[in-house]
Parts: sequence; C-alpha cells; structure tokens
Amino acid sequence: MHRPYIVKKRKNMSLLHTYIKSYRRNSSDRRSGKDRRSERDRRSGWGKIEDELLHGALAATASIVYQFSRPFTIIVGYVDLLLATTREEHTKEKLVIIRAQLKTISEILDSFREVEDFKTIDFDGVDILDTNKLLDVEPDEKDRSIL
Amino acid sequence: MMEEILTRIDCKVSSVMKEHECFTKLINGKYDLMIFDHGIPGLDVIDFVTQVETIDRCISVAMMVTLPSRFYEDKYGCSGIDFLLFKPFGYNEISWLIKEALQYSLKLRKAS
Repeated sequence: MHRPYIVKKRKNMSLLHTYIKSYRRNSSDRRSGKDRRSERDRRSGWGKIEDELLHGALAATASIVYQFSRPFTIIVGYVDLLLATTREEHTKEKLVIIRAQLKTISEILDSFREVEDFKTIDFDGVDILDTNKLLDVEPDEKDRSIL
Repeated sequence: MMEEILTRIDCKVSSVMKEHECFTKLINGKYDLMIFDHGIPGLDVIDFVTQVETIDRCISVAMMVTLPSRFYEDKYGCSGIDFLLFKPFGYNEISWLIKEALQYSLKLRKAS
C-alpha cells in the first residue's frame, strides 16, 4: 500500500502516535538465527556486520530521497499546473504520461523512505537493495506458542 | 510553484523569505495555515514553530520534508508541527493539505 504524503497529528500530541507499528517476529527470523529480544544475529560477528550494512543502506536511501525529492517536487508541481491550464488535447495527453511516470518515481522514493532492513535481491548477478514492502503475515503455529 | 498552485485553488497567499518577516505577517494578520520547508538554511525548526504558536495557537503548521518519516518522529514528534508534506508532491496533495488544515484550524479556533 502506498504511504500517505501527509501525516496529521492532533495538537500537543506526539507524532509517534500515528506511526505505532508492531514488529512481530516471523518464522523466517528463527531460520536466520536472529535473536528474539535484541533482533541481532546470534551467529558470532555477523550481527555487527549486518548493523553496519543497514546503517550504510539507510544513509544511502536517505541521501537519495533528500537529493531527488526537491527537484521532482518542482517538476510535479509545474506538470500539474500545466495539466490544469492547457486546452490542447495533444499536449494534455503527453502531460498525463509524464505525470504517471512522476508518480512511479514518487512511489519509488517512498519505498526508499520505508527501508528498515538490509535485504538485497539479485538482479542479473548484481545485488540490489530490496525495497519491496514486506507483508505483515499471520503468525504460524510456532509463532502463536511463542507469543 | 507552491504559491502558483495555492493561488489557483483560491487561497490568499503571503510568501516570505525570512523568519522575522513571517512573524511580522502573523502578528499583523490572521492566517489559517503556515507552510515552511525543513531545508531552510540556519532555521531552528523547534524554536521557529514555538514562536509561531506563541503568536497564534490556532494556526495549522505544515512542514515540507524529504527524509524518512522516522527522522521526523524522533526529532519533531513533540513539536507543534501538525502536518508533514513529503516531497515530491503536486496539486492533489496540496489541495488535500489545504482542506485538512483549514478544517483543523477552524476546529482549534472554535475550541479556543
């Protein structure tokens, strides 16, 4: 699901209210050897490396959204203004195509903002950051007994 | 660009470049919404928002942002910022913000 652009909070209340999420461990964590409480990897040394990789990935994604969001805002804004004012159908059609592509870019930037784990996927032999949102799966039998 | 879109959706807009100009405008007139950018060089966001609230407690405050939301939750969760407007945004998002902010400001004015 696409995250809303605007986050509202009530006066004198913490924004944190709007973002309370449950981080439930699923069965795959057990297989990966992740510690239940600290969420660190139990295998010696690997937890630290994983933390550093995540730290690097978060810095990279934050830099991307920071650098790209501003120019794209100007482009989106003017495309919207042109769409609202132009009367020429041919131009309007092209602007609609540009707007759709800008929406895709906007969604990609949103997915970069949502990165919380260091996870890569293979793209023709190259590891790229997995920015697909993980679905909140129902707990299985083993999870239920732990919970 | 922001000013053009706001004008197009029939908003009366005042735009300023400096912090003190903003305070002067707020002291001399009634506004429903104040929109500012998180990336203004040298701006102390918390101090700025506190001063805005001191002048008018019923004004809605929106900040244009770029970074992941967790950064703003940690740093500005308890400040007086009412809306975060994530870039890139366009006409629809601004229209939505105006609608929500006006309702919110009206509610606060009625309550005060």
